[in-house]
Amino acid sequence: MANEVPPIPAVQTFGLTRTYGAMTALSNLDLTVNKGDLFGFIGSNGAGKTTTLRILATFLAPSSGSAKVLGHDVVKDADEVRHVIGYMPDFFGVYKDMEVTEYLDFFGACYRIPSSKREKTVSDVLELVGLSEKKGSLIGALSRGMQQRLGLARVLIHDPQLLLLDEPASGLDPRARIEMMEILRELRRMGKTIIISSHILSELETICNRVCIIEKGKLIYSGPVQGVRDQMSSGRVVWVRVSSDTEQAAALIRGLAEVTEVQPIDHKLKITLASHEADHSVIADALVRGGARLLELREDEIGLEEVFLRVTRGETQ
Amino acid sequence: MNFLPVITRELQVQARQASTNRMRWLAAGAVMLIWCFLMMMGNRASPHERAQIIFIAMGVVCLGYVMMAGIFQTADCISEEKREGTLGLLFLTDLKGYDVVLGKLASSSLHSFYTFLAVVPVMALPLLMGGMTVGEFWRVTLVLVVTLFLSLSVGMFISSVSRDARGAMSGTFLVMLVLAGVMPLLWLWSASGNVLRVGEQRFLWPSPPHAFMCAFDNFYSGWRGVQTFWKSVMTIFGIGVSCLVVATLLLPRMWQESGEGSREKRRWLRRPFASWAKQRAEVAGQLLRDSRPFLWLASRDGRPRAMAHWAFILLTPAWVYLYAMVLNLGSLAMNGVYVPILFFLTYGMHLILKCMVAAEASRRFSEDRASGALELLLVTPLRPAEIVASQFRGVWLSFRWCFLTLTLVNLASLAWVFGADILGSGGEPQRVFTVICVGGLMMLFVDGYALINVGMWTAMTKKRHARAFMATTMRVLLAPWLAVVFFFFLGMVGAYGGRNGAPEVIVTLWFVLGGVVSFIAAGTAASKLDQHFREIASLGKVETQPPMPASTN
Repeated sequence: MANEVPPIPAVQTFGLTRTYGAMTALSNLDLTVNKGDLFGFIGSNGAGKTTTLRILATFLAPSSGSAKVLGHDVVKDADEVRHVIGYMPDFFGVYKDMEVTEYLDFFGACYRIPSSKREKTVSDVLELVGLSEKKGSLIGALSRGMQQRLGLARVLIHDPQLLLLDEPASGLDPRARIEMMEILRELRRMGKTIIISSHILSELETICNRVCIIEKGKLIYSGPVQGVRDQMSSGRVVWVRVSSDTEQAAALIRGLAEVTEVQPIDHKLKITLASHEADHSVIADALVRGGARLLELREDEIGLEEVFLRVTRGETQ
Repeated sequence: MNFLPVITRELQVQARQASTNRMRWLAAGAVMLIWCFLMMMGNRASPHERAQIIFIAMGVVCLGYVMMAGIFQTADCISEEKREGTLGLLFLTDLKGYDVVLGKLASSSLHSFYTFLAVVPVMALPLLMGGMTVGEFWRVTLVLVVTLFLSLSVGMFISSVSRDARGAMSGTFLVMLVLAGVMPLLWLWSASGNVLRVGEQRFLWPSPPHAFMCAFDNFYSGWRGVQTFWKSVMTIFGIGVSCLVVATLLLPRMWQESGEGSREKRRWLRRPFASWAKQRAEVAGQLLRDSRPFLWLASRDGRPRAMAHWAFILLTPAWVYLYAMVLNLGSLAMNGVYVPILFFLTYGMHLILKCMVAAEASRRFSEDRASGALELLLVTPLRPAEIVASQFRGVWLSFRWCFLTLTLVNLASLAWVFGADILGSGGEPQRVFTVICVGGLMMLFVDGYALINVGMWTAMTKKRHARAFMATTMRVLLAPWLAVVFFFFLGMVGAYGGRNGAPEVIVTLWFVLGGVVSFIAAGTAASKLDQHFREIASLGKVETQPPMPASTN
């Protein structure tokens, strides 16, 4: 029997709270992100995502609670934390009158990378984000997508273990977004832990292995992407289309133990399974054995967007 | 004309600002205070004399204010919209250049006009005491109004051709300095040297201080006096109108210019200095290689350094020429015009340098906060103390040659003070000039230190660079300026009773007050930067109760 290696936490927060005057932006957040995770941070505007990321990046002090990044406390060991994280806020923060290499060289110096190594490092990160051809360009002359990539290159300049990315794909065109997601996948393959907040949930769904949903400063869910689907869906739904009479087909299925409900809708059958573990191949078996001609069998998967809408509509209570 | 939408939008913005109302109260209160104090202190002067002196004192303070209004109110109003890209949105509608220019003028001048309106009734109080005429009051008011219009219009014109705040404010300051200071100096030069035999009076017409002087009955007498006053007023007004017309014509053609295009167009300007710039870039690059990144950042922009150097390259020969004339003429110099010009020029050079230091000290953090770059820097291992120290050093490196030049200027002046027979060894003039030279030199460094610290702090607390610059100069330089005007007029109303040594006491007090103000301002700012830098960068304010035991890293 293979020994399963227990996950090592990269980020842990304990009762993390942040208030701005009378407003509570973050309330008792307990969160764990494991090493190697590509962790999606989901929430509506003002939910507390940016506040959390800013605290983890040591830019903002928490009002109460604590947070650890790779074993270092973000308040007490802020200097150590800064060496191991790369933070990309939801704005560019670039010096438009600098050249691309100058900008990265400058941040390399800020991270105390020796000048002898900096040239190669700059060249490597530019290649990774696909900006090698623009190394001599003025930043102000770069397109939005390129500036976003440059931001990612800046984040990677000191080879951090944890990346905190706040809306890295906002405002990008579809091609640039896809390329950005590809880069993130590649970074994960390289062993980086990535926390990414985004509103483009369909993309988070495809690249993240774990997500958390935060609403009004409170954690609603944290875990695998599939887990949130299961938790939010009232039951697995399978759609079936047959060439014969749908009522007869419905009668063949109704008796099955794995099925709780069968509804004929527009020449199709909407079948609700009894549990998340139920095997829907029994439906196909029953139909074929009963002489019905099966044209389509498809499981209706609930997407992250639907989950998010349900959460923000308060359907989670 | 359809400029109401712009005015409405701008007035809404202004109405939300508490400072709009506060400034009126402050201005009226300050002028009332001057009035009361001079009234109480001036026992030796007759009521008529006191009334006249109080009126002149308030007029001088107001003149200073209206001349500066354009720098702070309008100089950056259009250039800011260009930077933020909102000007283009206005031009995508049916609005024309004049709509935008007049709309912005109306809204930007609201602050200064309200403040001015609050001061005018207080200025009229001396009328009740006699000693001055209604005509004088209205003429002085007219001069102040047209000067305010000129200052705001010059600001609008410079703003319409500029893109960055620093250039716009410096440009406006320079134009006002030329009109108010350089033109009278040219007149003085032409009059004393008889270089120009005809028309030298024309040099004086665009000068607001000259128009202010001509408004009083002593000058406004006879056909020539009346003519001179009105020519001066009309010239000032005409320059103001011309500035607005030019801004109106240029703005629709210039709002789209940006980025690489404009850089390309300006490349020919930089060509003669290309090798020098390359050499400077090499030196700056060494800072980066030496892993002093923020010092590199703080000193990589050569424009403020170049601007200061150019200003001093132009002013220093003029100073040397005047100094040589003073030395040449010996005792005659005291009766001539050269000594006062020399000392005013020296004071002007000090003032220009201090303003440049204030502008540069408050620029970096202000821009970096606005762009978000400061947030990125604060999540690197760079410590706030290192950032602040590097910024301090960067500003010092930019202006050190100017500081050195002014040190030599002051020492040379001191040498003249001790060498000139006319002053008399140990006499009062010698003591006064000695205090001026030594005190001025000390204040140069004390104010410089204070301006850099206060500039960095205000950059962290004010939303715009222009406001940070204004707050910095007001905190460090305003008190001594007001004090010197105040002490001067105290002397005029006879508050010192003709006692021996009064002038040197006034001058010494001026420096002491300035030094104390600067030290307190610098200490407070340095302490806040040390304790709250990260907090102010992340929240924009200092929290009354820190959330957690703050990390000083």
